[in-house]
Amino acid sequence: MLILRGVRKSFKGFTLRVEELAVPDKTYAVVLGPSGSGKTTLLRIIAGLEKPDEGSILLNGVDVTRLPVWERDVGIVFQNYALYPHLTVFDNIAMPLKNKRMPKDEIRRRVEHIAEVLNIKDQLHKYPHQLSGGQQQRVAIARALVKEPKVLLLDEPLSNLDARLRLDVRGFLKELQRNVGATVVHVTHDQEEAMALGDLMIVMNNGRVEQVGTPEELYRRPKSLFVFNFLGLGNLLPARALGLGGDELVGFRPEDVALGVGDYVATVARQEYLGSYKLVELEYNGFRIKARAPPAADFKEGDVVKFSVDLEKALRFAK
Amino acid sequence: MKDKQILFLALPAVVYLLAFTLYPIASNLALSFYERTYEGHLRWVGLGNYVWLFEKDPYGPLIVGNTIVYTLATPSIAIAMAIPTALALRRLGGKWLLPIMIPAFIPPVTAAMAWYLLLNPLYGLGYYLLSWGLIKANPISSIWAIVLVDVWRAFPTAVLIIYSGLRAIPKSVEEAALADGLAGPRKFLAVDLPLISPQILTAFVLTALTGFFTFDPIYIGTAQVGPRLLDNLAYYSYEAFASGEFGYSATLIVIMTLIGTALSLAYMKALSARTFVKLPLPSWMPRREVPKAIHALVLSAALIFVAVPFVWLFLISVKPPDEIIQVPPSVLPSRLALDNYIQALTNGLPFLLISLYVSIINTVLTIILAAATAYQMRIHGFGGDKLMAYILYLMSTPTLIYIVPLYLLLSKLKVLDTLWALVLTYPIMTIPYGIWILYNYYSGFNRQVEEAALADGMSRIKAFVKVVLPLSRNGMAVAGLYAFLFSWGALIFPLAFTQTPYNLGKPLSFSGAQTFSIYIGMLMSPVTLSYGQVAAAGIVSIIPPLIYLMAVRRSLEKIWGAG
Amino acid sequence: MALSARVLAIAIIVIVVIAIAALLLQKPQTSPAQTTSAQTGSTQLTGTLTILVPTGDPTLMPYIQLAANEFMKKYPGVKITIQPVPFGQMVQTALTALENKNPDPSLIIFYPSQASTLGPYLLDLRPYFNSGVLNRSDIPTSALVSVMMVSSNGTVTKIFGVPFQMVFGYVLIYRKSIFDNATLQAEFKQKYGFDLNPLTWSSWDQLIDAAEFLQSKHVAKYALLFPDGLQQAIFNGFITVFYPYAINDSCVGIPADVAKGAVPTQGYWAYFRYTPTGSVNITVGCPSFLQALREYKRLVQFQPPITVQAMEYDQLRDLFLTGDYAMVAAWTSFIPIYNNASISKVAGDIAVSPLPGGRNPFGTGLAPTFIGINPYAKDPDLAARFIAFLMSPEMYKLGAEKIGFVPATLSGIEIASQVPSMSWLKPFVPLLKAGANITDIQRLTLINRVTNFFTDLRPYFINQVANYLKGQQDAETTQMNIYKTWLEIMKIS
Repeated sequence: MLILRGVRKSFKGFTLRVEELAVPDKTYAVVLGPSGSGKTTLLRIIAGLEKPDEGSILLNGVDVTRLPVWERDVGIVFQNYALYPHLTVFDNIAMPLKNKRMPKDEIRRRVEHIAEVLNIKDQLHKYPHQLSGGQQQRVAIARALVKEPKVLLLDEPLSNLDARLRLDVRGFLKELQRNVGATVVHVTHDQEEAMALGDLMIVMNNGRVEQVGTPEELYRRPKSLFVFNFLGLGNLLPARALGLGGDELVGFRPEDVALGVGDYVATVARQEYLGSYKLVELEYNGFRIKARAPPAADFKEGDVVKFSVDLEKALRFAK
Repeated sequence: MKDKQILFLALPAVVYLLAFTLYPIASNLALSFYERTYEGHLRWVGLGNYVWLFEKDPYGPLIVGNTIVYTLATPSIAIAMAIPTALALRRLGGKWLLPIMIPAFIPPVTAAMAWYLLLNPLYGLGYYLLSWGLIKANPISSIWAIVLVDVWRAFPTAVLIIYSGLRAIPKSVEEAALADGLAGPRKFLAVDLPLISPQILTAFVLTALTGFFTFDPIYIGTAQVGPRLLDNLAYYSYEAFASGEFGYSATLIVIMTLIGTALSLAYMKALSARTFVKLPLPSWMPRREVPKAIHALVLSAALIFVAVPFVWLFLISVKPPDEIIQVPPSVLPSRLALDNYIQALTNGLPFLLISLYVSIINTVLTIILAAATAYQMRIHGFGGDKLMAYILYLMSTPTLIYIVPLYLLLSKLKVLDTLWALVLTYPIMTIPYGIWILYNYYSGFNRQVEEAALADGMSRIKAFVKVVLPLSRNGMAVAGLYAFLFSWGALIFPLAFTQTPYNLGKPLSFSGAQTFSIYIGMLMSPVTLSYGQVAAAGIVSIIPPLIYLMAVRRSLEKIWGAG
Repeated sequence: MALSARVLAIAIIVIVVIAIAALLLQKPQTSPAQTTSAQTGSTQLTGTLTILVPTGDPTLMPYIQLAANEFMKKYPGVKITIQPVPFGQMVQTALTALENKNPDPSLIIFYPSQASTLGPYLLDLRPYFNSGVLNRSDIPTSALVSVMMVSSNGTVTKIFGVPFQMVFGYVLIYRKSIFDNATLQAEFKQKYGFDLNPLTWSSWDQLIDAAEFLQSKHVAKYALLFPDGLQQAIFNGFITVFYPYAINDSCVGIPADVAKGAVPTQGYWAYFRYTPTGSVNITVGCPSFLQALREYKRLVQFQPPITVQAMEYDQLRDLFLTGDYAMVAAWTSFIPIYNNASISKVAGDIAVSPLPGGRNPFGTGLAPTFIGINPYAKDPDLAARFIAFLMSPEMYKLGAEKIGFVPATLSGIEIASQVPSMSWLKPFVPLLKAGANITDIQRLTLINRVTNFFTDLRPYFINQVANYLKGQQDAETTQMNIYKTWLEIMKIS
């Protein structure tokens, strides 16, 4: 169990505060937030690359706040991989072990094992500049995992890969985590990636943790307007606009809008064909409402349609 | 692509360089087969001069040996000192780089003179070193005094290059090292040192060149030691030139040219191989970060090393005449006396004027010619690798090698001992450096700027003048700084090509063109030695480069990456 | 590839153009030099002269200036420009002008050690001696030898300079306040059996005795400052010691008539002699050389050791000013500096004697300053007239009175020694006179034929003797090294 308690870290014009955050063992945790939300700082504090001004970090009950990076039992994969350009893949991966003064054959065994796991066994003699971006990343992951850390920290691991590769690697990461059985803390600004991977999602905004929970919890039951807006598409209208009582705002997802039936009438402003479904944007009393329709649905721009909202699933937010 | 306008911009500097360097190199070779007779004629001796150097000259082996010592000891010591200093700079902040750089910006003759005054066994701190028993013999009587001065001059360059190498290590690699359990000396050995090994190699070669060509410290120091004992090939060949033995001088120059060529070829080869040096990592190597206090100590020591000669020079320069030759020497003057400055400036005025003229003219010339050529080389591939290799080659060969043929050429042009002799020849030293600095500067330059200007209907030349040049300010400021420094501190060319001070009676004739460096050298000659005046002149000689340095500090720090 | 070929072609064109331009520029330069010389002979002189004058000597530049002004006063049509040059660059400066056949400077001033380098390029002055413009009989031959070229059979083939300033060196300069002390005098006489008066001494041993005595009395921090500088001072300091020994050494074989006068040109010539077969022998191997070497080491023991500070020209000049020394072996040109009260603590407290003492003055040498004429000068005759003026008795008198300048002619030195402030010259007048007519010119000029004497032989000598003084090798090794190496590398023309 990784626990952050009362952590505070201030930079010029920015403060990160985490009252209490717990990541259970063997969990794939994703820290999600826009840039400047403090997610990378959080990762670096867990790693030990930054020292918090106050608060403590506990790993399996041990306070590691004052421990140097290499004594924390964490592995880090940097966004740009940060391989040692002057060392072979083998030596790159072996570096953490060498510094633990491990016997040579034990080092060899472990490096070869992790290289096998990451499918880079035939690259061990090469230098980083001879590898593709994806291979370099695997080396970086191998280097982080070879010391068998309790926690693996991934800093935007998919951001340097092209779109096709990203999906493959995404799946690979999750499988890897399951195979190795480590706790993963993965930082990203991509909500889709976060939801796809996370057993546990930690949404951050402006230096604070907004909400912690499973992707489903966060998507369906966001505690704040920020989380609602940040995760997936959403519609947000004053309650009165939908003829409901109260001064709050009502939020609902496009899939909670049913087209062609209902009490509300709107005009089709625009539609996007997205393969598995169509996203229809409605003009309703001066508001725009996104709705999901089957791909075969036949609307034209300017059509007047009826629609309904599944108010059971709708959320209310204070203005 | 390579249209006429590109040639128009790129060729002037190239043509100049080829004309003023290829011909002398060939001419030296021819001259090295002759010797001067009793009657003053040249006589063919075949390989006689070469045989003499290696078989008969009682100082031949010593001089070759000295050259090797200077060439190897200077970079080794400078780099051994520069690495901890660069590490301390990385830890404590780049703002300390500028003060450390100062020795690189003052005339070499001033640097040598300042150290010799400082170490003088009777009137300098050398007296105390001797009387406290720290040293046994005259500290300025050994070749290590030359090495000391050269280390002092080369140290800043070594620090700069190594520091820039350290800064170029990605932050994430540093953090990865931390995660892998590398810190302090352990991380230095496993990560920093291999990654900065190309910079160390560059620093080694550049500072080795300082040692290889060293001239000014020998010029200043030789009176304390005995003839030939300090000489390297460069100085010995100048001595031969100065005593009229053109053939022997050319012989020594040919040998020096060969060694210089080999050095620069080896360097280029080593750099292009891009190998990283790896050292074994002993397991006892501590992995804790070195305490900040130690870094502060290292940096302070470096700053003191840099500052001490200046401080002593200044103290002497304000001492009244009778206190200067006082034994034991007083550290602080009893009163501030300006006599030395008044004398140095009155007597030195013609020299000062010439130095300012030629430095300013040559700086402007160099900036314009070098920028035009460097831009075309970098952006349009003008001249290709071959031209760049030749430029690097010129940088790695001493300007001394041109003096004999150029001297004869200038005398044919009837411009010896005039300002024009210097204006014509100084670009030989400065244009290669200018091109090199700007070539590197333009590597980060967006060529679309020029293309946009062409699209807007400008000619290439106009685009270069109106668009590229204004955007090259930082690079030109730095190239100009180096051009100014070389011009201001030059000693060999003015020694060889001028004989009299600027004739202030006929200022517009610009005849008589000895420079301020010569004035300082003159004041250090045993026959005319005046410690107070020479110290004051030294301080004066430091001022213009420092003014320039301060003026372009921002540009420089941008290029150094220390800001 | 095509481009670099083009670049090369352009480079070659540029070189050729420059070369042609240079040749074209050079042509018209030669003619005016010939036309101007026609106007000589007219009583009213006109024209311009440029004189290359080394800086450093405190009386030389003022004297040239004084003479130039007087000359221009006398001949208003003449304009003289003085071109100062630092001592260290004299040779190169002069050579530059001469090798380029520049008309300026028309007159070049130089020292004995530079004579052999410049000699080939300077104008032969024998016509002016023959025509009487310059007075040969007033110039001591011993002062002329370094500017004479002599063929292998001993006939003079060229005289390329005239000595016009005499510097004696080394001489002993000592503190009157110490040597005039009656108590010290009495005690010294009682202990050593001779007077504490350098003018009565006759050997280096006596000088060393006196130094030991003064050192033991602590009358000054150091008893004697003696040249052992590594640039030049060892070389001319040693010959000072060597010569009084060599005179009596048949192995060195100094001709009898030469031995009576002061050592011409520092006596370096004594290092070489002809063998009966006509080849050249080196006298460094002679017994007197070894004696002198040992004595030299004893002479430099009363000052900071050579490993701490070798005593070069500037130290001899400056350290004595501090008042820390009782005696110094110095050049007579330092006298005005020692007497300059604004920087010197010994001003007015000095007396002068030849070395090793007044009874045996042959350690003191002559170091004349020469003046020569540029053969490409616009008007060599005018230049010769100026030299004659420079050396006229009237001018010498003026110079002695106003500046303390020491003349080089027999009549001039007589006149100068009558000037009260220059009475110290008196002991040196007979020295100069004894060298007025010497015969073995062939031997005395032999050194000029050793073309690498100053460039190769001298540096080796200095370093070897320095090693001996430092205690790094013994006297015999030093002697053998110098002898063998000199023999090996000597180039005789």
